[in-house]
Amino acid sequence: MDSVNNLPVLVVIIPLLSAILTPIIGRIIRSAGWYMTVVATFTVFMMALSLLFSVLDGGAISYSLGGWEPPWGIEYVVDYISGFVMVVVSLLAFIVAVYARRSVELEIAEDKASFFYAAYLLFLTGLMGMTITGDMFNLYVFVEITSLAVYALIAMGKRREALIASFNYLILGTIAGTFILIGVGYLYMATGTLNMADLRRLLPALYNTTLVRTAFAFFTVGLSLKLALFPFHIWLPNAYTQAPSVVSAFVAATATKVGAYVLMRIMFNVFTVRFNMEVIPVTSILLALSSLAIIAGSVIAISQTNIKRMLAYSSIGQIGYIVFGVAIANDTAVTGSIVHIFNHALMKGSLFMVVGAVVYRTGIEDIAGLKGMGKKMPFTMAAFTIGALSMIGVPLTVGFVSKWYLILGALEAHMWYLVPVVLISSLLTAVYFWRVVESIYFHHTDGEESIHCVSSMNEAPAIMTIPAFLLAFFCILFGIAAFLPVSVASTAAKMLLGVV
Amino acid sequence: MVPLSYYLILSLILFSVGMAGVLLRRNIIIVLMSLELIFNSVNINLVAFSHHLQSMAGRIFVIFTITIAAAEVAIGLAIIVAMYRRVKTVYVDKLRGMKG
Repeated sequence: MDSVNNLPVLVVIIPLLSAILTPIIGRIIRSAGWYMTVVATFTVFMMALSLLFSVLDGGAISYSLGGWEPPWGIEYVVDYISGFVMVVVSLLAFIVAVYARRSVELEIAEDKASFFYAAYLLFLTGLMGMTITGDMFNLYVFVEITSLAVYALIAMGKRREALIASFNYLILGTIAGTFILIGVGYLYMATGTLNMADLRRLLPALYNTTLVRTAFAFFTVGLSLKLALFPFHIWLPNAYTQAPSVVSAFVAATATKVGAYVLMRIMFNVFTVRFNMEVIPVTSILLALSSLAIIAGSVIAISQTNIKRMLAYSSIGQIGYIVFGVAIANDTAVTGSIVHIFNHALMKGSLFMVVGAVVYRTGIEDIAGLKGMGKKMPFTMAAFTIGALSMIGVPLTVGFVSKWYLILGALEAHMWYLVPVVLISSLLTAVYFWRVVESIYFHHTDGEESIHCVSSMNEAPAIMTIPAFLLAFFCILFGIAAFLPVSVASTAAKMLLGVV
Repeated sequence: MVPLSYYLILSLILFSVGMAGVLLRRNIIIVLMSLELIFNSVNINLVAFSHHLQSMAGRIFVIFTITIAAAEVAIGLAIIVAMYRRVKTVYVDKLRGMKG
């Protein structure tokens, strides 16, 4: 019974310990890294799922680390939103881990593979920690653990440009980290506590002090950099393009989403909606930036020739959607944002895994090189098409559900002028994805183009196609059974905004 | 006793020097050192606050921050070494031609 009560800490400890053990055991048994990663991520996923179910049954869980009571010790909080995000992150971690094996064999040197898996697990540790923690300084530490693991993962890319992409991200990420730390320091100065629940209680009296406002400004800028909101996005395209395929799939699907979750936590849970809308008009700034991100991300994506880069720019647009809902700040729009965290993880995970499978078979990353791929890799390309349809927001896919809630939220807030932003961006998304889909199915290979263009079927290994296909299947499943994620997300949104 | 604001001004100066270094210097090793300056300015902030509030928490945070900064630099230097082995330069301008 005891281990059940300790689940909130186990979801962080298990990947952490496995990350330490992986390189040690990997030294003795070369192939152990992958097996350990799959087992660890699966365990974490089951634990996150059982935590979510126990929250659905009996309300939020508060866990005091090491038995120290909350204001002094670190508190872990599992409520609707953190339970939901943890399930999303650990599900993606598990599916990408299964997929990783063949891709890592190809892209990472054999003696470095166990270190790769160690960094992968450390990254998961950081994400789970960021999601579950109820303490501001602990949050900062987990943000740094996540970032450090990502720098290492990106730097493992094959080309030398990967090192530059990683170093760029290291500089920007570290500055973002120090901004968050300055915010933490100012809140500590203002209140003497860093427990989120305590801060929520103490802060309203201090809303008019410069100290608290400055702290909030530092948090917003730091987190915007971490989640690559439009003007702070410059690190993202290079990082996603140069990273190994597995890393692109996992990082694109989870890292920025958890950043968005932390932004929601700080805006609505540490501070309140009233502070965000009335004391300093941060929601209107975020609304303008996210609308720009949605349009700019899609427009730049249209002109890309490298498919990973195109998906990276499309990610910037999708992050725009999440922040868009947060900035509207009514419960329908925030529901849309939370659902979109889940949906975008499914879609981008699936799309990047497909690209990884294509790279594994042919080494092609250019959109022009995908000609006639529909005949050569039919199953993989079917998954890509489902992902693309979902990104566009076709009904019966998950992309439609989140856009529906975002538009409803905008209308409820009487911001009808924001509706065209979402619609135009859907159109632009259709333009850049259709270009790829057209080239996959409707262009025939010229025969003499290159040695890659064998006209017979040459599908990627099943261990790569099945995970990609599974996520594509979820895109449709949760597009039809939308009430499952939406019911959790709408309760989470109401709790965040303090409606219930 | 030295008032709190003196420490904050010192920290502000360090922060500005660090930020200017990150933005202006062309040698990536110096960029990394400037990042360290930013970290240290934040640490001074935290220690000053902790002293002002007469609570140990701030000082304990600094220990963690120093650890994190050390890890950050380790990774940064590792990337620089790997980069130097391939391109034989540590200057930003010469690296610019090889964007992804």
